[in-house]
Amino acid sequence: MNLVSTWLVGILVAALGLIGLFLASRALDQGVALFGVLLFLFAVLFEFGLIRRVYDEREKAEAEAALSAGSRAA
Amino acid sequence: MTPSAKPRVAEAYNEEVVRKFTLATVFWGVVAFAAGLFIALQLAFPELNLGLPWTSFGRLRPVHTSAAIFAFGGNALFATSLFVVQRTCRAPLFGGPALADFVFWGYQLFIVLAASGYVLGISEGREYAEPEWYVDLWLTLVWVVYLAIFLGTIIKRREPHIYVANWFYLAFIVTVAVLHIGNNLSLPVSVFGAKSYSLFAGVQDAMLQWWYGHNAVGFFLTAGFLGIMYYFVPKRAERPVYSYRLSIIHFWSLIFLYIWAGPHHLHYTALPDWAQTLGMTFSVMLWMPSWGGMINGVMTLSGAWDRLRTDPVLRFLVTSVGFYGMSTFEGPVMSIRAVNSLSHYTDWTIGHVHSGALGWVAFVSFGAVYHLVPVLWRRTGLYSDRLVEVHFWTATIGIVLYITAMWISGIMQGLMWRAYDELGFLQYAFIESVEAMHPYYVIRAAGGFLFLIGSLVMVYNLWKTIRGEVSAGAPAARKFAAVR
Repeated sequence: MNLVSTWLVGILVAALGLIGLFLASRALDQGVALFGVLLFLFAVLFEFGLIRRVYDEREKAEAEAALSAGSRAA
Repeated sequence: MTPSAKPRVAEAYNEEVVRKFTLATVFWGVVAFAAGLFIALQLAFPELNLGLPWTSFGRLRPVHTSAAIFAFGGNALFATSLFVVQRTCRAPLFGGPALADFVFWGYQLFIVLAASGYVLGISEGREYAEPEWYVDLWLTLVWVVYLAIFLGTIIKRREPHIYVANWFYLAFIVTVAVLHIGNNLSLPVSVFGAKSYSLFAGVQDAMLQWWYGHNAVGFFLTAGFLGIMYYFVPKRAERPVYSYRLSIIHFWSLIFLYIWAGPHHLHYTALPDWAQTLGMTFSVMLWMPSWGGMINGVMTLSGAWDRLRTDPVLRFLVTSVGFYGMSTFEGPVMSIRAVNSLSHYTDWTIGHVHSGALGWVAFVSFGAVYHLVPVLWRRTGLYSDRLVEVHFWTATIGIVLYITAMWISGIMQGLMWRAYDELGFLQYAFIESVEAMHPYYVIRAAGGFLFLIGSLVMVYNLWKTIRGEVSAGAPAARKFAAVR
């Protein structure tokens, strides 16, 4: 469930980032220009956060598996 | 598997997002109070406008109001609602951590976009809904995801009963969505430009704005925070809610009555008389459910009144309920047309708003945050209860200075504006009423300064708590537990 949700949120935010870039490129005033740039930056940073979270969880699961294997062997 | 070996549900709760929202609450609280102090000083000493458009009162005032309501209050509501719904439904948040993170960061982006827009002079000019159309759309997306998470968690709950706090939170989330969309129906001049125009015009637009404006008070600043009250007061007092039946009656009557009260903001305007009277009547009727909630909150302490002496966090919570009772008494009085003819457009309204915002909203949030931080960071207690007391008294004195100054100046303003001489001419020029306000504006700023100082004491206390430190004055048992 969490992985599916991560993928769906990731795709949604990537699309929002592209919309932000598009808005910034065609902006008629500083309001929409700022919105577009901030939306793009939000998307980039959020995607990095998602990737980091997935790797962190994977490493945590591997460490826990190694720990439980060690305790079983002992 | 023995029962004790079963994975504890608590481990699956998403507390990370609650921690983030709690920190954001504290951060934006300080920003909101500092901005409020600065604009209060601008009113007393206009040179502080600095002659720049970006630092003028007109642009910084919505920065303060939005920071207080949406940034500070909003983050407090997110933090507590996501904490409470998981605990009372015994289920982790629907949608997983990625969706919850989207709501957190998306909401912070909304705050930054709104504030930067105000400073740059981009505004729809609608009270408590100043952001332009693209920021409104962004908030709608974030809010719908928030609703999906909250509702999804309730649907997948492992507890058959839906606790009353969740009713209040759900009413707040659903109604704010409806209000936000209804009030912000507008047509942008261009998809690539910031400017937009409301779909409504004239008195219909005014009516729509105050339908939104008053229900922002009713559902954002009341229903949501009553959700906080219904969880944290019983939790802290270690007592069940005084009357669960009263909480249900109070809930449905509050929801039904609040939505009609908006027109009292438009007395003596082009709005038809019948609509003004309708708004006034429903505002007066609101006394009943508001005090039902207040009585329920206060009476929850039955048998535990002594804890008010020993637990400053509970004191914050109970005092907030007292302020709630006071401001929900004052509001209906001010909605009566004859009273409104004196109070409207004066500082009395500002004092009324702040007795609710500082005394009710901020105090109940402080109480909830003080309760949450040790729980979320797995600490045995706060760094210092003494500092909570310092915060409590500093903030209380600040509020008293603020609201009494605004009462006096507001009533004086109203009386000066309506005073006639024996020939039927106005007795005072407008500038004379402005000059008369000066001492009260200085007292108001002093009150705001104390409130800000109190919040900085809270930041220090919470920072030390999160670091796991225990003050020298703490009970020996807690110091021992912290060392272990």
